[in-house]
Amino acid sequence: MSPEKDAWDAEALKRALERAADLILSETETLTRADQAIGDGDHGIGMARGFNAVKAALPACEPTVPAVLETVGRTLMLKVGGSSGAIFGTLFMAGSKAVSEAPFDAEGFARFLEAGLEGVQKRGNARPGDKTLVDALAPAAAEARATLHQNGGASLGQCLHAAARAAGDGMERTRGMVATLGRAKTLGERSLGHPDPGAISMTLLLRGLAGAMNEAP
Amino acid sequence: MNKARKILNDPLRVADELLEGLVLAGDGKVVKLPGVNALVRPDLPEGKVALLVGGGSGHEPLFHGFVGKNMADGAACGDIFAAPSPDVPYEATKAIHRGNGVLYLYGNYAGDAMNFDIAAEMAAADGIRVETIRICDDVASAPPERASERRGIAGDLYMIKIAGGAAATYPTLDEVVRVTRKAVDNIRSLGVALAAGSIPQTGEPTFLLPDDEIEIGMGVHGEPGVGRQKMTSADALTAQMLERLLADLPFKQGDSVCLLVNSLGSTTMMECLIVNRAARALLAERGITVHATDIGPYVTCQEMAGFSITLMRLDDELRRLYDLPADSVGYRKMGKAGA
Repeated sequence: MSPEKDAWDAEALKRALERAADLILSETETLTRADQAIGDGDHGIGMARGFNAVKAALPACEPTVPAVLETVGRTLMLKVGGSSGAIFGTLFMAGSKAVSEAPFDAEGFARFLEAGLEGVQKRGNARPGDKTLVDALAPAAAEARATLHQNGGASLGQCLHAAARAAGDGMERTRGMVATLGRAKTLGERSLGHPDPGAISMTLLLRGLAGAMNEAP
Repeated sequence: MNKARKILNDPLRVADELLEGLVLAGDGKVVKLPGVNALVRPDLPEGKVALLVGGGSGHEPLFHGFVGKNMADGAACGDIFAAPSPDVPYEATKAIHRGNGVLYLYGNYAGDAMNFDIAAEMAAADGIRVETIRICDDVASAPPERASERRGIAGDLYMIKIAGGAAATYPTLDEVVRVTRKAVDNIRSLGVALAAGSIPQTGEPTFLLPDDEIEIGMGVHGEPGVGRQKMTSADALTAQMLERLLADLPFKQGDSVCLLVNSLGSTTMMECLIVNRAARALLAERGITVHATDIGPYVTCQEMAGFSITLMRLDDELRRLYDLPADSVGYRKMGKAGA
């Protein structure tokens, strides 16, 4: 891994977030179908509206790492709507407060996820096992930190890939959970067998960021 | 099930267009803020405690229809069945704040709570004091020991009536909060669903219920109630619902109440009146006095069939606030003679 790929400056972070936005936009239909199964079917539309707005907002954003993350948070909060807007907005807003203006490295990424998780849980009172995006985000944050420690200072790329894998595994586990919060709790036992749409979005977001790491700048 | 037929233009502009129509129906009593789907009263005096309500659209006249004199001072409106993003209540807060604080009053739903909380934090950063009370009157949605987890349903009307009256006549936010909490403690509702409404954008039903079954306690978005059963007579159904409702607070002999029979949308005034007849007989049997009655579609879910019964137990203070005249597009009331 070349040293310049061990951290993203604000411009590289913007490109990675655009890449993650593209992945979510390409999966809008998947999100809509997942939400039709256990929610009211508007998650895909909301996320698409939000990440289109993120792509529009990023170019003009002040080029510092906290400002980029804060812009994403503010934009999602205002444009996604419903619960998803509040939650994904809070993830980025809270996460932006935990990072410094230094380039976004593995430590910054772990802090972003940890602070984002704390903010999301405080906002929505979701605990692991409630069948929400926390079931993808919590293992991702833990895995990013563990990877960083195991290898005595892993690269940003290693942490991104490990977090994305952990989020995906966590998202799959939500199939076996009964929703207890939000609109999906309407279904109770009937939510079994379906993954949580927010956990899918969380996974796509991390896969998109990890994917950006593999590309030449 | 056939898709619902609705009189619409652009399915994606339903919330915007209904608000435009509502502002016009208000004949100057409400205005829409530029850039966000928030309605506010334009004539608020300096120093008035402000009351902000809101939530997803599609339940009209609920929330935005209840902005007016002695009712709400503003409403933050989401898209159909979706919570408003936080900029909507935040902009509404700034528009109605008159230096004496703002009370947020809305139904206890996750999306609304998160977005209004964010707005409250943004307002606090501007130095505006905000207090929050979530409406949780639906006895079917959680047991009494977890009453604060209950959903808000038709009790919204009485909550806004009491809080609106208090915000118009009490000098401080603390006093308005105190009496509004008292209203929470004294209002209980229970509904029954006979058939689903539909999502305006898609025409799809909001839930599925077999043709010959009804569900007591089902929420307006199809949240599960206390069990499905076969259809029965108006008298038997009303008795079954009131039994559960009266036992919850509990309401006792000698209590004085306001009674609301609310249509969820397509249930007719005729049916609500027949339910009212049964309810009054049962309440009289229990020695419970009805101070005032409200009947009609106030908290709806499109063409959902079914109704809910709400009781508000009164003391002198709640009675006085209820008896204040009110003037909003969705709820008008003359003052009681001598009040």
